[in-house]
Amino acid sequence: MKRILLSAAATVTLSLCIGAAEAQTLSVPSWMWEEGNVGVWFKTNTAQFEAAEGIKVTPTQIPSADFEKVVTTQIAGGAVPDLMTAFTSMLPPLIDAGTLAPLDQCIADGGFGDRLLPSVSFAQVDGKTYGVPLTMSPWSVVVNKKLLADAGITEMPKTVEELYAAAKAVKEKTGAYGYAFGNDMAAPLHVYINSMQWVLGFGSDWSQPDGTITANAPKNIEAIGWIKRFMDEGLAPVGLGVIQARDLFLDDKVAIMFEGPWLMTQVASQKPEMMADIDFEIVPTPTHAAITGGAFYVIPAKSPNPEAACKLLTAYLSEDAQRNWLEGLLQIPGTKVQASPEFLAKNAWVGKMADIAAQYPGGIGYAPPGYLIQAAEFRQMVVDALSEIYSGKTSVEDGLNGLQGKLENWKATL
Amino acid sequence: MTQRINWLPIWLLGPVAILLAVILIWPIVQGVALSFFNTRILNYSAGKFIGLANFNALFQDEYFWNSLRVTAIYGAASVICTYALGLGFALLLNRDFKGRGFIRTIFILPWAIPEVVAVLIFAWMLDPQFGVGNYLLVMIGVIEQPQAWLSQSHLALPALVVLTAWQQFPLAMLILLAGLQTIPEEQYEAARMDGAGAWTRFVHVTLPGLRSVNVILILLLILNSFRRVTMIYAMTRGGPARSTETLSVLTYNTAFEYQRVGYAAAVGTVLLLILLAFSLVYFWSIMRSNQAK
Amino acid sequence: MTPARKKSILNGFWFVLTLVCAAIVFFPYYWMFVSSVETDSIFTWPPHLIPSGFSLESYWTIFEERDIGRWLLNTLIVAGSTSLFSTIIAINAAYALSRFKTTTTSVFTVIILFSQLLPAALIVVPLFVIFQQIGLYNSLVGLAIADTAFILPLAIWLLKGFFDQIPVEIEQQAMIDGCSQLGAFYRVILPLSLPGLVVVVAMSFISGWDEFFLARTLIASQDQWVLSVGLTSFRGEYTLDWSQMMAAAVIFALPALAFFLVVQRYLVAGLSAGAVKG
Repeated sequence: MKRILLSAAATVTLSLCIGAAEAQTLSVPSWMWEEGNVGVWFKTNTAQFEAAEGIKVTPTQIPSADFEKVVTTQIAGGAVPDLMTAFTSMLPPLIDAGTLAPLDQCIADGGFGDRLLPSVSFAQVDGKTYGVPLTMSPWSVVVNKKLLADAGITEMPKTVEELYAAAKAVKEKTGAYGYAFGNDMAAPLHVYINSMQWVLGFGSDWSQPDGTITANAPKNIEAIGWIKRFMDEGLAPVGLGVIQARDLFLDDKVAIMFEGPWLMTQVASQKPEMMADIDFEIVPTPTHAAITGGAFYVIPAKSPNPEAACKLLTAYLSEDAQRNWLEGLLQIPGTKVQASPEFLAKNAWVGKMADIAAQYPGGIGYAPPGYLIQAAEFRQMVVDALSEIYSGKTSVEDGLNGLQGKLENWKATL
Repeated sequence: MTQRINWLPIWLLGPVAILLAVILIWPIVQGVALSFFNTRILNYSAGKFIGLANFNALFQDEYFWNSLRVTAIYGAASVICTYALGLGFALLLNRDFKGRGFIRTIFILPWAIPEVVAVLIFAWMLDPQFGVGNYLLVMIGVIEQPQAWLSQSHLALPALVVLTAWQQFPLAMLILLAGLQTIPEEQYEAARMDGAGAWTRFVHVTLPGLRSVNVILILLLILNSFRRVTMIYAMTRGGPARSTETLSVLTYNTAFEYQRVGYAAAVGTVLLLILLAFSLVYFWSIMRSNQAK
Repeated sequence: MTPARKKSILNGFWFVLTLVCAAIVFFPYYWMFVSSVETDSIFTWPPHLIPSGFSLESYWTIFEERDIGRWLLNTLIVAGSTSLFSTIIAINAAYALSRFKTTTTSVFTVIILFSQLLPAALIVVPLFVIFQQIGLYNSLVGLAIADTAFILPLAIWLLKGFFDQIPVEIEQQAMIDGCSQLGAFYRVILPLSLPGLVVVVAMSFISGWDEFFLARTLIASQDQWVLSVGLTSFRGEYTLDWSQMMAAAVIFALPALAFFLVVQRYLVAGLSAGAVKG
């Protein structure tokens, strides 16, 4: 009986080992593999790389909401990917634990060092560079000008009060929503990002670089109060995921969304005739801060194939691929690309977006200052509080006072 | 001859001993040990010994107390609903009628479905826009308009309790059915002779007859509710606003979402102590009912 | 009203109530199936309670667009190995516990009962570390071994119940006829406890098939995912719609249901006997 068991186990193990011992393959986890045109960009460039180098790439799609947890666990568990994408906010914990390889040599060999955006500094610690910018598109505003015009608004709102008036007019005259954002609590990251657009837009933040908690700062209360007002008065849809909100926008049911260029791309590919009616604009908050999520390419320190991973990274950062990221995907790539005049003439908003990003830098909106390593937990606590505020369980002021206390208590447990 | 050790049972039990030691016992010991360290998941081996500091922090941590409260409420509500459904259906099935075997199979089915599938079905039925559950509940007048069950903190827990009861009642029903069949028919006859109505017979014959089964079943349901992670995690991940974050889920989230392995181990250790306390009562009642036989 | 008539009305009432309850209990299954085969959009309000057509398109789509085939195979490997490991180990252990009454075996009985009640949430954190150290992390066989450990206590308990019911005399007779004790067990006792074996094989298969929590923690790469993990990854992603998700749910649930229906008679008898006995 024992012998049967052993031989059966051996057969199973054997067949699994044969599966693993193929030619050199790179495992590349990302949340972008299936993201519409971005996914196509990755697949195309990867296929070219595979053909040119004879190295196979295994794309691993992990949904963005789960991404940090899944890859962190993989790295901790020793199933280390070769090359991966990382949200900017993931860099501090990964670098701090010594899990990323310095890329200075790879950057030098690839010869793309002088093209990297200044935001590469987020990945630099003690003179070493642990990541290369992948994309640095700003979150700002995407507006349906036609819908606004139908409601008698000809000027893009420049203040929060004007935004409110516009949203009200849109609701009354067209029945559509004036403003929409993702507030499905099952996707905390999106809820958090939206709150950051408002909180940073009022010149405040949840915490300070020295670790002081400022959750109930008057400006935060004011900022969240505005979001709440839009929801309470039926000017913004409640409980909607960001994907459904974008669908509503494409359906001419939303006038203004605080969003990034990917929404423009989505319109361009799914409903090109709508492009004439929409535009990329400055956020009508007091500071107009255009926050950046941003993402990086990183190579783990224990990457099984670091050289090949560096080659793939170099391929992704080639000038052609990067130009395509800008002109094909209409998003800001991680390296400086000079757009052609024809392209800019055809897509005026892209130049505008670049200007907005340069003029109103909002910083990395996903990472709470002073808590870069504990960002995930911090964000969850903020979203917990927002969820109670948005659903009307508590007032804005009480909710944020409560959050202040919770964050301070939590700080003491670190 | 009697002094010789009989090696056969030891050989037979060896594999179990090794497996349980490596997969259950040793991890539990390590888990308890980890709770004395300050360590994050990316470098768990480089943890710093901090004595009882994790526990001190835990008892100040309102999310821990919240979890304790959620665990208690979820445990009580799900056990009551599961038991009530189990008993009700056991009584229905304990009658003689045509097609009883078939109906019994239908009643057991929820138990056979993978938890993950049960979660997906319920999440779809409770979809705020197109969920048939919302539609039916509006139709029979329980709610006025469709609700986003899983994203409101006062609705997620009830939804979870309903799902738990639906999936778990078959176990209760089967055990109670077996218990019902051990009650001698003569007792009911005697009660009828005394002019007892259906309700009186239920209270004075059925319930006392189920007593020993009840204690064990309810303890088992309580223990299961404390240990349950798959269903809750797959359904809500403990949210919204931590309204469904039981101690089990808090342990998992702290370790893998928030990456604080040592602190998570402290939460898990508290959970372990609570489970042990209930298990002792559980074993004690099993022993007692065995002795009674 | 005559008592007999009253009684038959009452019986009718209970029968109808039973049917209504069964319908409610069954409804989620019905809805899973209907949503997966509905031809019209399932995103309508009010929902069609009766499907307006029948189409298997959702099934084809998920097989084309997702790695369902791979996950099915992985799940099969895990469930099959779990079933094999736990049945073989449980047979021997249950026999030892049933036939040898020594201090060792009673200590074992207690340990097995206790290990059934340990919190998985605490176990997985160190288990994740241990598996990584001994090279079982991210391996399907490793997952099957973990699943085996979790199902073993119950499997042993059930089999022990079956062995207990077989008189020792049968074995002793075989031993007189020239069998060794183990030989008597394998040749005589095992065939007699076939229903018990079927239950343990099926139950451990189902538990390996359904398992999510360990799989989610102990398996990293997508090509090693099992169905339960793959299926939950669909939620939160929006590229897949509910009708396809329900199709995947049906594919995942069917084998477990089929196995269950085959053995439910034995399972019910075994479990209720075990539970009532304690």
